Amino acid sequence: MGSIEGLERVKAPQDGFQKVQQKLTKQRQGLRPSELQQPNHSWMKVAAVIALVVCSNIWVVTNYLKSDSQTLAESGVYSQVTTDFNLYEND
Amino acid sequence: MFDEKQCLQDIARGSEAALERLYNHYSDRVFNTLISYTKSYEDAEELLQDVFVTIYNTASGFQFNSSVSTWVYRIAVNKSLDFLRKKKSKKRFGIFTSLYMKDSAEIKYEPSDFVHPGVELENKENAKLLFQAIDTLVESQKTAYILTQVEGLAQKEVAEIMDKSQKSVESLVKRAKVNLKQELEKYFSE
Repeated sequence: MGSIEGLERVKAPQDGFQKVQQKLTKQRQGLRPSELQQPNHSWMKVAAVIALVVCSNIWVVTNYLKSDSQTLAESGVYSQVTTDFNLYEND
Repeated sequence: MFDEKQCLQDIARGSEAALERLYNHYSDRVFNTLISYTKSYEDAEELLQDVFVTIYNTASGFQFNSSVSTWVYRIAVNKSLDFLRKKKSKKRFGIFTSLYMKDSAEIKYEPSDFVHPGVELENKENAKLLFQAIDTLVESQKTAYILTQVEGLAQKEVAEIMDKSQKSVESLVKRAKVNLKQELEKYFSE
């Protein structure tokens, strides 16, 4: 731990203040420097996951409703069939 | 004689010349603190600019309840800790995305061979290990250790920067030293 004894201070970069001024100028123009340097697209990944979840939920719900209405329709047909072939009522 | 109070009042009124005076007065000290946290010359340079942009933007709100030096250091420490948190979460996200994307270039490994440029030549190897070990400390211990042991600030000043009592800074430094010792033993026991 004694390795940092006698540690010398490093000089800050020479053109540092000019870069600060550049950032302030960009700020006055209403642009954040970090946005200028690299566009941030990380929100697109989050949006893609949300879209995927929403779509899969819609698919599941519509499938469920479809199968429900099919069952209802089929049970109606079935009751008709049984009445048509009811031997006791024909007597 | 550098009049900090007057300088800050001028900055609050929008004077870039006053900001330059403050920059010339503090940039070396702030840069050294930043480099101890970031372990990268480029990142420290970027953060140094951010620190002075923040000073320019928030000077009008400074109440003079603490010294200007304390305030400047506090901004630098907060910026550094934010930077490290973002870096950590980026790294985690990079590991996650690399599971799904083959060409993901998100994972950037730590430069493990970082040596503080101010370290004496014969101490470089040991200092490299020490800075790796500092990385393993929790934020409060890291800040207390860097400011007192690396930057050489007085415990009283560090207590003001960290908004803690002098006693708690003392105990943070003590705990940091114990943890560092344990961490460094791993290297030297091999």
